Parts: sequence; structure tokens; C-alpha cells
Amino acid sequence: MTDLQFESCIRLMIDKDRNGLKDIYTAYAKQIYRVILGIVRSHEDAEDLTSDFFLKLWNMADSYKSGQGHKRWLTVIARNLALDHLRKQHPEQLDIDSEDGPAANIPADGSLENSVSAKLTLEAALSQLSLAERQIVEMKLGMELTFREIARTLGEPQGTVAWRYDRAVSKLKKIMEEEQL
Amino acid sequence: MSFDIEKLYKENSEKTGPDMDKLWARIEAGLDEQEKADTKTKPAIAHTRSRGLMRYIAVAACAVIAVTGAFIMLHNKSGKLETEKTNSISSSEAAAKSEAADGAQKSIAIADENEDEQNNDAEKEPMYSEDNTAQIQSIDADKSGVQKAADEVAEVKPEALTQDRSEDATAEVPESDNAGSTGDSKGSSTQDPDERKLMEPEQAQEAVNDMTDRLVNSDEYLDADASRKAELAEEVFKKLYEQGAVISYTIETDPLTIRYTAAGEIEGIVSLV
Repeated sequence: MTDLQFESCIRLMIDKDRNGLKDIYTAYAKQIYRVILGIVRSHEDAEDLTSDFFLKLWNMADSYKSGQGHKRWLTVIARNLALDHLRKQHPEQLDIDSEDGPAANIPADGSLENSVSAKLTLEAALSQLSLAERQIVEMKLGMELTFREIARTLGEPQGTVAWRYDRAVSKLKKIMEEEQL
Repeated sequence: MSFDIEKLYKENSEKTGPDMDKLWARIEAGLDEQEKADTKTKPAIAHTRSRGLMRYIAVAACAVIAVTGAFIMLHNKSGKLETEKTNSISSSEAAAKSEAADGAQKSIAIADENEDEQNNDAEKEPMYSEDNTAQIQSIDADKSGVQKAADEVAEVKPEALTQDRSEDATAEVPESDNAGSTGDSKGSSTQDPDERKLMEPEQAQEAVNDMTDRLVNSDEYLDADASRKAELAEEVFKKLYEQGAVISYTIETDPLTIRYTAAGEIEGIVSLV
């Protein structure tokens, strides 16, 4: 979806036409779900929050400003929603920028870890990444943001983002190769 | 064995995503609940608005009464002053006349002086027939002045109320007003270029960086030849110009670059190679 198409959806939403929201949902619901899942690590919570995301989007459509990049705008809203949810659940444990391995301070969804076949899938490999690395991977591969946009979203230097992404992809490849062997 | 992470990621997304139709049904149910909640609260908002309006009318009425009263008092005072002034002028004229008369007829001094003094005294005191008329005239003048003041206030009143009502409406229903005004501001991409507003320099530079970043990372651009790259770049900078981020730009072919001047007179170059 281009910026112009997104803006026309926003105009429909402001006029209380649900087709605008439906078009955005069709284009981005899966990616938004992935961004949220990367933070909350639970499919159920991610689904609930995705639903909350689109309801929130409906109410704040008039706050979108043309020229700011619609994908980054959506990602910021989704990320903030997920982080607020995490803070409510685990206020003493949350460390967004932690470089520790499989998001050590946030419990993952138990169903994935227990599944034998899950170890061979990318989903299992992604769960091995730190919170910071996983966010970058989901934003880069899912929402298709540029490193510059990701850097602005996370409030980090662009070089750091690019380095973390490379490291995350190398990790994923290594995990997948080891599982294959 | 090498892995295409992007391809694997997309496949994984398809497998692990939720039931999208079910999720949309859930979102629509949430929207329906919100709409019901909005319709329930509307009467309360209308009631508050009318109560606020009555308050404004009461304040305006008090202000009108106070202004009218002050106006009447001022006119009364000035009317009295004028009457006293007129009397003092006529008495001084009479005194001058009597002195001249004294000077001219000194031989009949006592009788004339007495007569003049009597005349002076008589003239100092209000001549009821004349002054009554004068007073009546001044009261009438006051009345007409008050009437004029009241008419002017009456003319002002409906406008003031209309203004206050619109302000009150704005205060009570901010969402619709914001939507209207935001809608207008979002039309920047379709504004007449002659009427466009320039962005702040920082905002403009950010917009230029964002859009050029997106352009050079897009698949279409990466696969394009030089002339197509120039076309794509021109489209981007035309949009930046319409949005007010860029004041001017030039595309050079050898080497393929764009020289631009962003809002705030900041110059830049983008390499298209």
C-alpha cells in the first residue's frame, strides 16, 4: 500500500466508513500481528492486541499526518501497545534493549517450546533472538521498514540497527543449519 | 545449506498467523459496541451544551444592564455640568453688562446698582420657565441618548450570542472540529503549489531524507536504468515540492544527481547512481 492509498483509507475512516479500516487490515494485519508477537511472545496476547490495535486506529485516524511514513506510524502504535501490555504484566522484568538471549527476562509462550517439530521452524529460531533483535527482524522483514525508519522508531542509531539485524539473521541461519544437521 | 531468510519468514508468517476473518469479525463487533456507547452519551452532551448557553446569555444580559446603567449615570452628570456651565456663562455676561451700565450711568448709581444686583441675582437663580424647559429638554436628550445606547446594545447582542454559541459548540464537541481542521491540513499533497506552506527546516530535511531513503531502497528503483531512476526521483521531489519540504530542485544527468534547496534555504545533493 502506498502513502496515497493509505491516506485515502484514513479519509474514509474519518468519515466513519469501515471500508477504509478494512483495506488497512487486509494490507497490514499479519505484519502488525508479527510485530506485536515479537514483543509479547504469546499468540493469544498478540491476537487480542492486534484487535485492540485496529480499534485504536479507528479512533485516532485523524491524528495521522501526511508525509510521516504510514508504515512507521502503524509500527509505532503497535509497538507502544505491546510494550504497555508487557509493562502491566511484568513491570519489574521489562528490559526492552536487553541483548540477552531468548528474551531471557520475558517468558515465552510455552506451547512453542514444548513442540518437537517447532525446533525445526523459523518461529522457534525467532524465539531464540533477544527482544531487541526480534523487533528489528519483524520490522525489517514484516513491515518492510528501512533501517532509517527502524532507527527512528526504536530511538537508536541507524548503524546499531543495521548491525543488530545482521547479527540476528546470522543467528537465525546458524540455528536453522544446526537443527538441520 | 543456505537459507533465504526473507522467503522463510514470509512462509512462516502465513503458517503462524491468526484466523484473519475471525479477527476481523471481532474488530467489527468492537466497533459496533463503540458506536452504541457513543449514541448513549450524546443526549448528555446536548444537555450540557444548552446549560452552558444559558449561562452565557445570563452573563451577557447582566453586562448589558450594567453598561446601560453606567451610560445613563454618565449622561446625567454631563447634563448637569452643562446646565451649570450655561448658567455661569450667562451670569458672567450679565455682570459685564451691569458694569458697563454702571460705568455709563454713575450718577444714578444707587438705584441702578440695586436694580442690576437684583437682575444679577434673578439671573443667577434658575428661571423656572426657561430652565424648566431647558431641564426638560436635557432630560429628553438623556432619554434619547439612553435609547440610542440601548439600540446599539440590542444590535450587538445577537452577534455576541452567536459568537459565544459557536465558541461553546467548539469547546463541547472538539472531535468534529478537529476532524474538519485536520482533514484540511492533510490535503497537502493535492494543494495548489502556489498556495503551499513551507515546512520547518528540520521537518523538511527529515521528509527529504525519508522519501529519498525509501526511493533508493525500493525494488523498482534498484532494477531501473538511469533514465527511469531520474523519472522516479523527479516524482519524489515533485511531491516534496508540493508538500513544502523543498523550494527548488534540479536533476543532473552526468553524473546522475539531484541538487535541491529544502525549506529553510538548506541545500543538498542526492546521488542517483
